[in-house]
Amino acid sequence: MESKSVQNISDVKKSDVKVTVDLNFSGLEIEIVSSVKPLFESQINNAVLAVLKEENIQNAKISIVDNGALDFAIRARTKTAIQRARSTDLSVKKPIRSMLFCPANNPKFYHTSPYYKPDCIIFDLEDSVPIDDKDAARNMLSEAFKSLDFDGIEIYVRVNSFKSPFFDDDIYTTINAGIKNIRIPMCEHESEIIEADKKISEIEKICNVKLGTTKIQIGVETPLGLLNIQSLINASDRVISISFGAEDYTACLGVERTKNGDEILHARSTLVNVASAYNIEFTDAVWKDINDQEGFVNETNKMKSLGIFSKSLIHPSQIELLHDALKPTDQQISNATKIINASQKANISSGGVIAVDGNMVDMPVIKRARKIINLADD
Amino acid sequence: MIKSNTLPEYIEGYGRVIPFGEEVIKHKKANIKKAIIENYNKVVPLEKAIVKTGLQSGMTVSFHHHLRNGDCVMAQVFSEIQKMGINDLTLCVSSLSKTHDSLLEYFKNGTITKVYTTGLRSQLGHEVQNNFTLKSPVVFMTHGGRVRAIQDEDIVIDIAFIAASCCDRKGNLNGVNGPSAFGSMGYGIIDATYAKKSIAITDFLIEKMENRISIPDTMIDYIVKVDNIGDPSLISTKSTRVSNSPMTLLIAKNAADFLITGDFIKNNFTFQAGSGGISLAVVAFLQKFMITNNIQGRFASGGITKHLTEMLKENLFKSLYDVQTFSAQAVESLKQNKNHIEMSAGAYANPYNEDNISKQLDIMILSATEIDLDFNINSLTGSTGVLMGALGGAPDTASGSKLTVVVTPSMRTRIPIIVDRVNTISTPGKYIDVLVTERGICINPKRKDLTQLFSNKKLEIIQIEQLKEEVQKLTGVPSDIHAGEKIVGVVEFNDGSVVDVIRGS
Repeated sequence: MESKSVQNISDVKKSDVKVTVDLNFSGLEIEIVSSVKPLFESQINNAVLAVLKEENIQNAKISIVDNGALDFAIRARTKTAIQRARSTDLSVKKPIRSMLFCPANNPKFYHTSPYYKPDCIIFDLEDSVPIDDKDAARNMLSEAFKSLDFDGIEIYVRVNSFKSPFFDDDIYTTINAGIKNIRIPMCEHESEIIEADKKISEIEKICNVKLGTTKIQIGVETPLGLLNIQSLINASDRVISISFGAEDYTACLGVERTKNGDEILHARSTLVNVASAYNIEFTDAVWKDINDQEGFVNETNKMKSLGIFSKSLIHPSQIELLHDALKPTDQQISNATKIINASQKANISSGGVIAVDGNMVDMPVIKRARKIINLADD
Repeated sequence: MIKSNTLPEYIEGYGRVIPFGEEVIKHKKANIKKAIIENYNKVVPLEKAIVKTGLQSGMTVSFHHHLRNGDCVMAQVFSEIQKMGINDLTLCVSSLSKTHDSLLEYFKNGTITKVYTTGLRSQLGHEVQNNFTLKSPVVFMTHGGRVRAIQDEDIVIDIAFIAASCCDRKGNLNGVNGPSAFGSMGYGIIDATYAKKSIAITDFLIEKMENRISIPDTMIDYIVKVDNIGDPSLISTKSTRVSNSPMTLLIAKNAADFLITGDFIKNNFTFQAGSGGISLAVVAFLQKFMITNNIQGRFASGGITKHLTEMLKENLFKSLYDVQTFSAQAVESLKQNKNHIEMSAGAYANPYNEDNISKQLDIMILSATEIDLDFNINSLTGSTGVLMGALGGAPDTASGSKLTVVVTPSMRTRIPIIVDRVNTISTPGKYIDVLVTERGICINPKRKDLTQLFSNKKLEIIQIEQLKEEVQKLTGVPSDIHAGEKIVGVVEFNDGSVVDVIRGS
């Protein structure tokens, strides 16, 4: 997928650099050819790494052919190469199927939860932490992130609601710990998200984090939140996904949450539809009865039939059940593989239509095929 | 810190040391009892039985541990012995549980001065290790090693006290009937066979044995009826339900994945697992796989759990060989199911028996308190060197089986389980093939065949050194434990050679 790479320094203007990026690569590899390599190899390397960090890239193969460019030029060329590679990149981001809740005040979960291989760990400062222990939980989170790594697992923090007195401290702790994803629970009015966005920007500045790095997952847990979902999404560019909280929602309606889930069908359908329309992710509510595995699988199948492929979890034993239930069928996998192979042969990354087994295949179909493949491999 | 590798040539109170790995020439044949029917009234009070069998100071008495933590036979017997003024006894017991803290006063006052056992823990362990009460070091033996030592007359049992949950007036015994039923008499059978005199202790005396006879009357000299031999609620202490701790399940799943990926679970395979929570969960995963793939194993053996008896019922194994029975439900199975077979410790693990069950094993699953970079495991002392566990049949089955898998968390709270050198070697690393933890699976580099086998499988294998580093990055490197000089325990392999010594603190 990369353009023809330049190998000779003589093909590069003096004080310039040619950068080639392959994002379909596992691991990080930087190859440097340079007229000043004996003197500046490590500086060139550092300039590239700085951009990779800024662009949040963990997997890439980068080839540098340098003819004595200064650092700013190396950074600029690297950034352009990454952005261009991204715009032509057909791969779909690995989906978050499972978001495993871990109470942020329990030290054990910080080093044990990655073993269970959830797609995402969400440390909770909200409901699982008693009011008197909010400070303790924030300190635990902050110290844990100084010394642990999470095997590349996506990390979220559920902060306390915007209206709570803990919101500012929670946000500060989260951003300062280097965490990029925040779930804000009980969202109802766009003004909250606008204010939260402002607050986050201030704190990003204080913590020396690039403006806009921090992303928001909107927690919808009330009928009002559901009603206002579009304005909540539009309130900030930081919004990348929605989550649903069924316990509070059903409490507002004054109904029991049943295992059958009829009472939340409307909310789920609405939210997954809105998420799809806005091209953002949607994560379904937790299943509370950890001993009822059959019920969990039934609910997951129901969720899947509505087009929902992501769920918040409260116990590690639910991870494998969820991932297994979301696995596409062999038939789906083989169809998807065919489509991807055909699209690669025809090289339609810049648009167009091809036929596979007599059916029209265009970009959305290819993207869906990628999604299926992504759900298929573990 | 004095670590175990340098063994002395001679240990006071133990004798000459043959280090593990050197050839041991023993193989004497001890006398076993002739089947002579004698017609006298065997049922007598405890004191009279002790007098009649001629117990004197300096002799050796034996017990089995089938009543486990519910045992109240040893306490009753030693109380009587002390009253009679007899002391300086050697205690040869198949194992000691926490309940045997009741023997502490007899350790302290010189009634008991030497001990052969497979394990020592709690207050007795503390006493031996800190106060050096015993005249001689405790000799730790494997279940198979104990049989060998008795057969070789390294240990000569003068009087065996055999607890039986059911006994008739002639002295036919079993462990399956009566209010204190405990199941198999696997360890007791050996004592009754080789002891000079045997006294049965029972709380359920019947006229005539109507079904199972585990130990025949020809081996029993006297019978003592007591009110109670044990507390049934503590006899079956082992958890019978599969854990729902996610960590336990994860380690078990990894172990099951290893066995399944390596194609070890196939028709007619033979299997044993310890009774710990992780082992139990491994069995549950295998059970599912066996049902789905229509696989029947030849046998499962060792300590028998309720779970295994259910698998027997489901025809997932052709038979169970039972050396000790862990729960009331399993006792019921032993009673009812003809394919649930009672097995003596000799048939199980006597190293002289070429065909013993431990040598027929394909797969053995063990747990450990520590494992080192040479794959030596420690199941006797904790990470701080404190006596707390037992050898059990682990060294027998590990050396006997084709594949030995150790299942353990890589850390317990802050304590890293993988260390440079274990505090005490209980099973030598040459017999350990695989380590399975929540963080990854390691193959003993000695097993090149296994490394080769898994080189092109999907399952990730890591180096044990790498796993150790990874864990120590979290825990930090623990300080050395300072052990004392005095040798308080000698760890024997089942051939009678010495694997390690335990020092006082």
